[in-house]
Amino acid sequence: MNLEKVVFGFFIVLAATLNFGFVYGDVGNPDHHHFWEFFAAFVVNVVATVLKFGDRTQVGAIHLATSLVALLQLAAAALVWFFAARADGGVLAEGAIASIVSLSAGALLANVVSVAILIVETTMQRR
Amino acid sequence: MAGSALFLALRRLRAPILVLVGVFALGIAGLVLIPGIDEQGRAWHLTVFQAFYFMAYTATTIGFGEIPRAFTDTQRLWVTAMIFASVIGWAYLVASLLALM
Repeated sequence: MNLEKVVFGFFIVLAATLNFGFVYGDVGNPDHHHFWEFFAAFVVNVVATVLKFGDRTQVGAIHLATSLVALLQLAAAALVWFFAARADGGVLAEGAIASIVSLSAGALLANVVSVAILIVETTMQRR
Repeated sequence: MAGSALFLALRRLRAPILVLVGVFALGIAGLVLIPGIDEQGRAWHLTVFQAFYFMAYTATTIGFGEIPRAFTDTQRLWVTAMIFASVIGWAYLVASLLALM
C-alpha cells in the first residue's frame, strides 16, 4: 500500500465531499450553507490542486485541469462572498448566497469529474 | 514547451506551497475564531479577508499592524505562533524558488 497514493486519493475525494456538503441544501437559504465548510472546501481544493502538479501523462494534465476549474469557481464564489458581506459583516446581501452556491455547484461538477478520472486512472493500473 | 517547464517547477515547489497553504489556513481560522475586545468591552471578530490580509503581511515580514483594532493577549499569543510558522514557511518557499533558477 503506497502512502503517497493514499494521501493523493484522500485529498481529491475530500475536496469533492466538502464541496458537495457545502452545496447541499436549498440554494437560497443561507442556513443550509455553512461558511466553515466553504473555507475547508476551498483550502482542500487548493491542496488537491497542488498535489496534481507535475504529472507528465495526458491523464495527469486533464486531472490538473479539472482541479484548476474547480478552484476558479470556488475563488469566484469567495469573491462574491467578500463583496456581498462587506455591508455589516454578518448578513449576506439578498441573492448573494444563491450566487455563491451556484458557483460552488460548478466547482462540484469539476471535482466529480476529477474523482471519476482518479477512479479510471486507478483501475487502469493492474498492479 | 514553456508550459511543461512551469508545471515541473511547480512540482518541485509542492512541499513549500503546501506548507504555506496549511499555515495560512490554520492562521486564518485561528484569527477569525479568537474574539477581540473593543473599547466598550464588546467582543469582535476579524473577517476572513482581514485575517488573510494579516497573514499575508506577517508571513512576508512586512508587519503593518493590528487591524482593525488592537488585539487581546489571546489573539497575540496565536499571532506569535503564526509569526514563526508563516515566516519560516514563506522563507522555505522563496528559498525553493531561488534554488530552482
